[in-house]
Amino acid sequence: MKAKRLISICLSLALSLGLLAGCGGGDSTSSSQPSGSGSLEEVEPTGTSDTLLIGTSVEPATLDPHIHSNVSTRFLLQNVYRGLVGYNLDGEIECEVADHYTVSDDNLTYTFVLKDGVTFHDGSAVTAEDVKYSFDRIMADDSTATYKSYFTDAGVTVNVVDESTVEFVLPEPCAPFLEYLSLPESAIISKAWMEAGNDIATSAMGCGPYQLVSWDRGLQIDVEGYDGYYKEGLPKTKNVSFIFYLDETTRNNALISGEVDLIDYVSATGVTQFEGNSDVTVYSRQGAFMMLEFNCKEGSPFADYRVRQAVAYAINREAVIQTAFNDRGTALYGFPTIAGQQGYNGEFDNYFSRDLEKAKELLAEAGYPDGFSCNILATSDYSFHEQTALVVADALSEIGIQVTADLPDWATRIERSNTGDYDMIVCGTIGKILDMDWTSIFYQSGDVRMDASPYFADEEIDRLLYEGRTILDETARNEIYQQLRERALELSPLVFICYREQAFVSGNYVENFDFLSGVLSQQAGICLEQVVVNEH
Amino acid sequence: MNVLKQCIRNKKFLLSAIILVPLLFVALFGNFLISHDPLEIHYTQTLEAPSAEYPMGTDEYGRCIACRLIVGLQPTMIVAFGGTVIAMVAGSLLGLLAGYIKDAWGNAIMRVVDIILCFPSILLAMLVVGFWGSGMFNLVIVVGILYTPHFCRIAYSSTRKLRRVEYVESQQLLGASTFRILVKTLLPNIVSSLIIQFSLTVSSGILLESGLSFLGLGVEPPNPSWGQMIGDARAYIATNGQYMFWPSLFLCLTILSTNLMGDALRDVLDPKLKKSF
Repeated sequence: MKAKRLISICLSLALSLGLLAGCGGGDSTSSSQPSGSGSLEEVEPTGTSDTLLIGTSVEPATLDPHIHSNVSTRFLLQNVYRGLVGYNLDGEIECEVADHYTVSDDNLTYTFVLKDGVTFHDGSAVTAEDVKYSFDRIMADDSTATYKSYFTDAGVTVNVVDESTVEFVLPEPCAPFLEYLSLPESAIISKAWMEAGNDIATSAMGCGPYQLVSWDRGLQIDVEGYDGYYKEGLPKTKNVSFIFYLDETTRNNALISGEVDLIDYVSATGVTQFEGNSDVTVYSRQGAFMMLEFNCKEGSPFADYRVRQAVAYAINREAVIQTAFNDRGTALYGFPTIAGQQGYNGEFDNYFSRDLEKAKELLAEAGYPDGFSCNILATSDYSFHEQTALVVADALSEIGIQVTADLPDWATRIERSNTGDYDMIVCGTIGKILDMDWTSIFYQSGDVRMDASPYFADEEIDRLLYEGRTILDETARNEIYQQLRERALELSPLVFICYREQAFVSGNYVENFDFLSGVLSQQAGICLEQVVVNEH
Repeated sequence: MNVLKQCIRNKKFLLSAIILVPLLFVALFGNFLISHDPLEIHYTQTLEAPSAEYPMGTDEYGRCIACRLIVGLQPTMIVAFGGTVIAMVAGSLLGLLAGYIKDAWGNAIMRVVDIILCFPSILLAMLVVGFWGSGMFNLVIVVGILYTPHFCRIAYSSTRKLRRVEYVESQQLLGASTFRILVKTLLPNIVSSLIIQFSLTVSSGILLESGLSFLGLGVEPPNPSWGQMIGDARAYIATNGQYMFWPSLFLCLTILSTNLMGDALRDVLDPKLKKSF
């Protein structure tokens, strides 16, 4: 509520200032229109446009590439920054800034040799020193990097071997280590640029295909193709603008009216609406899932695993899919695993089913035969979060749990989820890496954080996660992760609801836009360098 | 009696009464009129077209739109009427006082009132909701504060005119208390203009509450209110237009009829207009 208040205060002040300023006139910031900026360049004879306009759902809170604040910001930053390695469009790990790498026989040393002639946007070469600087920044004590714990838990030391060779030394093997390095948040930043006192939160300078041109607050961010990009002939479209449309309906209308060429975060309702339209192309991939987290603080009813199981039995997953996702989603009665992931054999796919009797029994066993009252935190900014919360609350009332929906704005919701200020919370999330070690952020005991249930701790789960990470033998890992799935469902610190889609929609003249399903559905940014905008 | 007769003869009054009386009835007794629980989710029947069971169809949760409209009127009316009553009481007392006491004090009060009037009302409402948070009680207070100046000005100007007339001065000489003079002598003179202002303010209050709920600053879901329903329906305007049609239609009708009522009352009550006939 606090932030919502703040926003409304700011809004009203801004509006009233606007009224006053309106009388003065003359001072209004004239934003350089992206469509105009291309007109000075030579028009390519191939019948393609050199400008792509993207309607994006959020204005970045920070441009720091080591922080994953949301999928839309990640999309932008993936194109300004690159790491040593990254996923390609086939879902394989591919060298980016690195030319090649070797892993020592004991799996403790990863040595990367950088590509010749890779440069930052200011023209300076990317060196081993920059790589060390970047990872030391991620792992620093005062670092707020989102995936800091991956690297600190693995105990990495980064050594500069020579100008273009860098090695990562681990105290013990770490099976998913290369995947950690492939995260967009393992970006390489320039040491010299940082030490020159540049603010990485408001400006950006990386070695990716696009360089930052300008950021008109409240309006848009413009980027321009970098001529010195290490992939020959890319990016294909010279100018890209990210225009902020916070409201979904406005964003959809901007595409329909041709104001923008591509929009992100299209909801299920939007997808249904666009699918019958031959002027547009819909890109929708399943992968992200909805789940509930519980505050397991001692004294809370949710500290008892039987109460959490009761919730898992009581919620109506079909109803969530129907209301929040317009019937576009897949119910999750077990553990969210992509086929092919370590040890997955479908055994636990139907661990829970909707069973109100069983839920009531579990509640009674836990000492709450008449239920209890609690709140559920969601947000009014994304309708599917709000709808999920209301449907869950409705279902839980049938077993006597009286749930009040708490629907602040998104920023407040994030703040409260980071501090554990809730009984139950609706999350729309996804594993961060392809390896089953994605579960470590969700289940490991430790600090209160976004993707885990606050104060949940289980020694066996911690042990399984540790073993899964440090044992390299695949058969053994399969066994470990199968045990983990079972234990995780039994204790249910997270209750999974359904898979949802991540969707983009573009005009049908936009070519080569593509992204993968599953974990990589939230890394659509990698395809931007090859997108072509045809004349229309 | 004369007034009542004139009212009934006035077409605007009749037309608005035909709409307003049922609406007020629904606002008061809506909870007994509904056939479905307006909060109950029927996930197999989302976004349905009007049918015998759901006369206005269902929303994205499969909840009955008609029932939600009926129940959603109540918070809007409480906010609009409650706020307006507060504004009328506070505003007219303040205005009477400001007009009657020493000029310096009266001026001071009126300048504060002018400052509040300078702000667009939705802006000020957002500011106040920002500080206090939303919720029915706060909304009533917000509407009350916002519209106090309107009543205050009417009361002030009438009192300024009347405070030197003989019957007031004679009361003063007889030793009547200030309160008695204000309430018993001056107030009855301005009641008709206050009533006209009342109906106009109610319609502004309805619009304000709907606006705030539309922006997500009003009534908290899952409880319905018209503005909030319109806000939610926006996402479905292309696929399910009638969802937005119903709350918008009823909001229009309500605002129109309260405004017509205000006009009609002015025709009947305003002595200046009467002479011109």
